[in-house]
Amino acid sequence: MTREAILKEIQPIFQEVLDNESLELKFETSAYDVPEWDSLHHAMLIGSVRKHFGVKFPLKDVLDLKTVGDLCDLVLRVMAHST
Amino acid sequence: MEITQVYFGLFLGISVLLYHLMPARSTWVVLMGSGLVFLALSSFTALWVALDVIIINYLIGIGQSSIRRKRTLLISAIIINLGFLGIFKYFNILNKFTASFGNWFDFDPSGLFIQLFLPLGISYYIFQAISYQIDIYRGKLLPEQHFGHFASYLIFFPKLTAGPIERPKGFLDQLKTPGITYDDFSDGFRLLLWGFFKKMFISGNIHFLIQPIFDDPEIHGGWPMILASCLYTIQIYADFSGYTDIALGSARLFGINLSQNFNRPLLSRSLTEFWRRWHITLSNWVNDYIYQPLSLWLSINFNTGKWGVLIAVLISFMIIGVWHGAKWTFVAFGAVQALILAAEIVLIKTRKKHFANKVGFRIAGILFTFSVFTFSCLFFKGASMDESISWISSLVDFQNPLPRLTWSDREVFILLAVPTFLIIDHLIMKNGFVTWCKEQHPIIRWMVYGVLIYAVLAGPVTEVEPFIYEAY
Repeated sequence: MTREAILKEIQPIFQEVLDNESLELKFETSAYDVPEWDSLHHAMLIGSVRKHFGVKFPLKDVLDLKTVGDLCDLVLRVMAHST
Repeated sequence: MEITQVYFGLFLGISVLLYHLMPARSTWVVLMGSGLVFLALSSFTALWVALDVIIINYLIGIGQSSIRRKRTLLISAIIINLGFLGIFKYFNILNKFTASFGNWFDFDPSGLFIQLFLPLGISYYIFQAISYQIDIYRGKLLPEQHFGHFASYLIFFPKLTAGPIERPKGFLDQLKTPGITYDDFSDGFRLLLWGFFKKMFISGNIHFLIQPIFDDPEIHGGWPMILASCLYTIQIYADFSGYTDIALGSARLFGINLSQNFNRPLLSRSLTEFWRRWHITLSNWVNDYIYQPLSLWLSINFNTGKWGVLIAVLISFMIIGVWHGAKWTFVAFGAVQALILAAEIVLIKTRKKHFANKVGFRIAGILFTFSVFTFSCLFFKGASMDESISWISSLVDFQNPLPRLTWSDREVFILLAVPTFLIIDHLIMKNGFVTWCKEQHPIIRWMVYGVLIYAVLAGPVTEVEPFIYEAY
């Protein structure tokens, strides 16, 4: 799976959790760019992404996430480890 | 030493003078030294506790850089720091348990009581020490090698009494590149003036007006108590944000920028928004070191979704409540916040869908948030649950006639001055007093300074009360 494919898959998850159908994610998108992406929604987003890909994220890595690109990289890394 | 006493002005003046006489690489001597003297003037217990915390955290921080067992060191640091806080802040609760125990078995346990006094600033520098250790563990910060800089981070005296709770990186970076500009001095004095105005004039006068009502709730039921409760919320705001401005202004005289603690919180449309604009450094600390790790851990391990967020919010706000002290009133204060926040989270989509862009609902949101916070402040203010409950009962007790229909000129003046202050502070000075001053013509600016200086000197009619947040 590529980084771009992961971005494409997490886009609807973000739209649903943040209740923003027009949201378009880029790798450099961060919580500063999306008003709905606050600390309350962050845990729900991570949980939904984790559930979608069926992976388990280390807490330390999740705490270091800053952008959507970081999240895609984390999914790739965790998937590579689990295979 | 009270910040409102003239001695504080002298202490600040002498420290600033010494700081600017020192060569740049030695300025830390004044920052650390003034912090230690400030603590010693409070009590020797405060001094030795702070020294212990500084030395232990300095050594553990250094240890984290060179030893493999970082996790063990981090856990040790957290336990030791919370241990200090627990002993001095919560030990006295044991006396209550001992008293209850004595009552059951019919003996007088007062000889066993140990009364500990809260060392100055411990709640604030302990949280800073914990964030220092966690940031090193997470790889966001290198351990500070310079003992003087590290000590100054924990006990820099303008923020010692009641914060702001600074993060290590931003503060330590400023110590490494000392420098001061004309703006630092002028902005510093403006902040000091605005802070003293809020404390001495607004908070002091509100206290004068409302304390008799809180002292005798039975004859002040109904509207007087409702008015007093609303004014108390404004008093806490004026008092604490006034203190913060004094801390920020004092720090600017050393060329140091401290973090802002308030961003026009009384305009918040929800409690969620309120806690992003009220006591910001405490909210951010709890968010970064308790709420985020806990909510993410629940989400990752148990796929808890919204419920995980609710649990994390509940725990975080109970901690915020108990951080203020070991009293049931503070637990209730935190619980009210947590329950309303939980409701807001559950209803988040409904609120957004139906109410987000309607002016009427925005205003209703502001009034609702103010009312909820005001209600919770009745627990915050109460010395005991009984006292808080007597005030709450009196809120809805409209049986007594208004105790009096005439008001003194001073009381009328205060009742007009408080809303005027709120309008100026929250609506006109949107970017703060300092920025507003810079945008004005010098004549207007100096007239405002004159009015504020007069108001500070006129102050409250009674003796100046200590800062509310000094007690925590």
